[in-house]
Formats: sequence, C-alpha cells, structure tokens
Amino acid sequence: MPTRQAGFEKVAMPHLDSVYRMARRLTGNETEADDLVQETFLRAYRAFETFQLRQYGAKPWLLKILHNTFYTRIGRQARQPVAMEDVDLNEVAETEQNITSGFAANLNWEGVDQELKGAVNALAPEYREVLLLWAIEGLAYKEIAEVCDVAIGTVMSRLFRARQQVSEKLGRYAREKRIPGSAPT
Amino acid sequence: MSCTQHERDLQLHADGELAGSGSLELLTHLQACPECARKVFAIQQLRASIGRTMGEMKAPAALHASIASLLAAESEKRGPEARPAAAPRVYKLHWPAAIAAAVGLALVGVWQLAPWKQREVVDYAALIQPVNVTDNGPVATSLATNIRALHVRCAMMGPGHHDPSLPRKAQDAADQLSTRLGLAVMSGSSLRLASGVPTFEGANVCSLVDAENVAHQVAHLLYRDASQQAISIMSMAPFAELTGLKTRAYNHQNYSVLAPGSSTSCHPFTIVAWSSRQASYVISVPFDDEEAMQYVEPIRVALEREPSIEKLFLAALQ
Repeated sequence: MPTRQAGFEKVAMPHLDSVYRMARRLTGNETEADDLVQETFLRAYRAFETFQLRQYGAKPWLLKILHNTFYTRIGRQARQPVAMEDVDLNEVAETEQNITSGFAANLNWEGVDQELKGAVNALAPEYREVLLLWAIEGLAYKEIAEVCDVAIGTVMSRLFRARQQVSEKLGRYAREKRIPGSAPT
Repeated sequence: MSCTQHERDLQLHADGELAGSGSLELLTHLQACPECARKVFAIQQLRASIGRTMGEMKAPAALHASIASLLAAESEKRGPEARPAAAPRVYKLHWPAAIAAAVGLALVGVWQLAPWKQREVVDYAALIQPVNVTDNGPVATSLATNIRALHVRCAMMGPGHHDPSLPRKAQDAADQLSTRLGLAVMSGSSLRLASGVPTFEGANVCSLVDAENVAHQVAHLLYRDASQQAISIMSMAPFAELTGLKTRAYNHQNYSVLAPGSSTSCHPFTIVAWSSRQASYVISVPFDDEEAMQYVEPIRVALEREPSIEKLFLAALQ
C-alpha cells in the first residue's frame, strides 16, 4: 500500500465510526450515509497534505469535511439559519427552564429512549448536527464551531434551542403517557 | 447573584465550558440552590441519554473496505509517489514515556465503573458536588482546565496520537521493567481488582500551557478503559504553578487533586499531580477523586521503586 495512503488511513480510519454516525443522523438513510462517508474520506485524502494534526484534531477535521460535503449536496438553502438564530443568549438560556418544567429531571429515561431518538431526528439538520456533536462526539463549542463553520455564539444558541425542543417533546410525551415523575414542577 | 443571572453560566458549566472564577462562583450557588442544581443535572442527563441511545452505531465492515478501495484508486490516479508521504506532524516519541506506560498500568486492574443509576428521590445538589479537590484557586482551576483540554485534544486523535518509532532496546527495557513493577504493584495494598483493565493506546510528546500561557513539554501516555474512556499519564519537568499547588496526604505521599470547573460527581474528571525532586507527574481520569487515587497509587509506587525511569523521562524531555 502506498505510504501516503497508509499514513492517511492510520490517522483517519479510527474515526470512521464517528463520521458514519454523524452521516447517518444527518441523512437519515443508510445508503446515503455510506455514500456521504465515502465522499468525505476521499475529499479528506485529497486534502491530506494540508492537514496539521497538532493544530486541529483528526476527528473535528473529518467531521468538518462531512459537514461541508453534506450541505453541498443538499444545497445552500438548507444552510440558511432558521428564524430566531441570533437571539440573545440570556433569553435563550431563560427558556431552558423548559428542560425541567417539560419533564422532571427524575424522569425514567429507560422508557423514553425511542421517543428521544424521534425527538432528536425531528430537529432541523443544523440543530441536530450541533446537538449530536455535543452529546455523542463530545466536541467543545469551539470545535463544533469549526466543524459547522459558524461562530461560537451560534453554536451556543443552536445547542440551547435543540435541547429545549427535545426536552419539550419529551415532556409532552411523558405527560401523555403518565410516566412517573413527569408532572410539571 | 440571582438564579436568572446564573442561567447562562449554568449552561456553560453543564457543557464544561466555564472555567476560572465564574465556575467557582456558580458551584457555590449550585450547592445552595437545588433548583439550579437540578437544571445542571437535567442537561447532563440529557447528554448521557443521547450518548447512550444514539452513540452505539458502528460503520459496517463493507464501508471500511469500500473506502480502502477508493483511496487505492485515488493513489493510482495520482501516480507513483516521488517521495515519502507527508505524514502529519507529530512530535518524536520519547520512549521512556512508553516504558512508564507499561510500568504504570499494564498490570494494574484498578477500578469499577459505576454505571449511572436512577433514583426515586434525587438529591440534585449532592449529585453535582464538585470533585473533592485540594486546590480550587484560580491558578489551580485554570491549570486543570488546560490539562483537561490537552487530554481531550490528544484523546480525540485516537491511535493517531501515538508515535510508533519505539527502539527495540527500549521495548526490551520496558518488558523487563513491567515484570519487576508488576510484582511491586501486585503486592501493593492499594491495588483493587476491577472488571476492566485499561489498554495502552499511544504515547507522544505534547505541549501543556499553564495559567500564565507558558508552554511545557510533557511525555503524554494515553490509555483506554473497557468503555473507551481515555486516561492520561503525563510527566514533565517541575514548574512553579504545579509544585506550588495545595496538597493532601494519601498513604504518606502528598498529592494535589484538581478538577476543571465543569467537573462534578455527575460528570467527574479528576487530575492528580505529585512531584519528585526532578520530575512532576499528572494523571487525568474521568472518575471521582476516590477512584482516581486507586489508580494513582500503584503508578507512583512503581515509579518510586525504579528511579531509572525518571532519569529516562528527564533525558527525553531535554
């Protein structure tokens, strides 16, 4: 195997699962996700000479390429911010109380896992992406901002909104199902 | 400050983005305000639930093969390589770090991961108690935040963090050392059998920035536990900020126990540091301080009984 390919695979392939997970969540489709991941790795391979491992970890780099590839495919319209994007962060933070009023923090999570998946998958792509980069891939705000090519403030507002929307949906579900501990407090 | 005024910091704290005096102020508030503590807990619980529910997906094996084929075709299109491939810039491995990796943890079976448990009545304020640190001053918290940032940055590289240029002689030395230290560790009273033993992932020389933005070279060893959580061992020449931290005694040895501002009993991250005359050691683990000490003690004992390792560290960092 050529040295360059071996070097690239050593750096990039350990992150295949993370890239695939995000691709599945963005596309919602196994075939499209496979295709998207292949194109991502091919683009990354072509750009390998310009990649500085020390400066920018491999995982955020690959996820950034995935992000750009995905949104290039679905067209620029999907990248337009939704309304209330630049809302004051303090205002957004105040509405976070829905997290605890929408469902009590002692809710039985085991029973709502499927509903949680549905709530996350129902988010707009830009909110879903930020939420998953935060919750599953464990990226910091700055890294999410790099991946999504937005300002840190935008990451924060999208994340706060995404959490709010998921929490509200789960709260409604829990109350409908009369799940113990879900009564508003 | 009122709860409303803390709202934004509460979000940042739950996400591990709040450091320094803001974090200390918020933690003080959280200890007195169950409602705010419950909000932090809810955010962290949401994160854990999403991770648990949606984080298990793995790429199909066929996809791996498809990518390899694509890359091979691309390589062929580019033609034969004129010179060796431009690998990403990594620092040269200082093999004593690898020795210490084998020495420190190869034979240590140390902790149990306590899975998160649901409780019917939840004391939220107690749940988000900070890690029991020895020093929570601004310098200590800032240094802890930087140590955690280095840990996370290197852990995210996965096996790519490792420099594989380990000389054969060093490997032989590491093997001999492991045997000797294995005996020492197994006889130590602090050793506790656990369900999972961490595996060595890689080692490299990295740069740690202190609270004054001064960079220090560290030999950084990374391990993974059974749940793929990363554990760091760093060794470095002592510097004032680190050696000046407050300490407490554990088994007749003084340690500094630190935590970044975001660390709580829900999402712990503990940093334990100590110094010999010539080197400082920093262990970073995603556990609380009690479990962290179970980890740290065997490592310290092993290093103490083999002074040659410390000499190798110091030589490597020059």
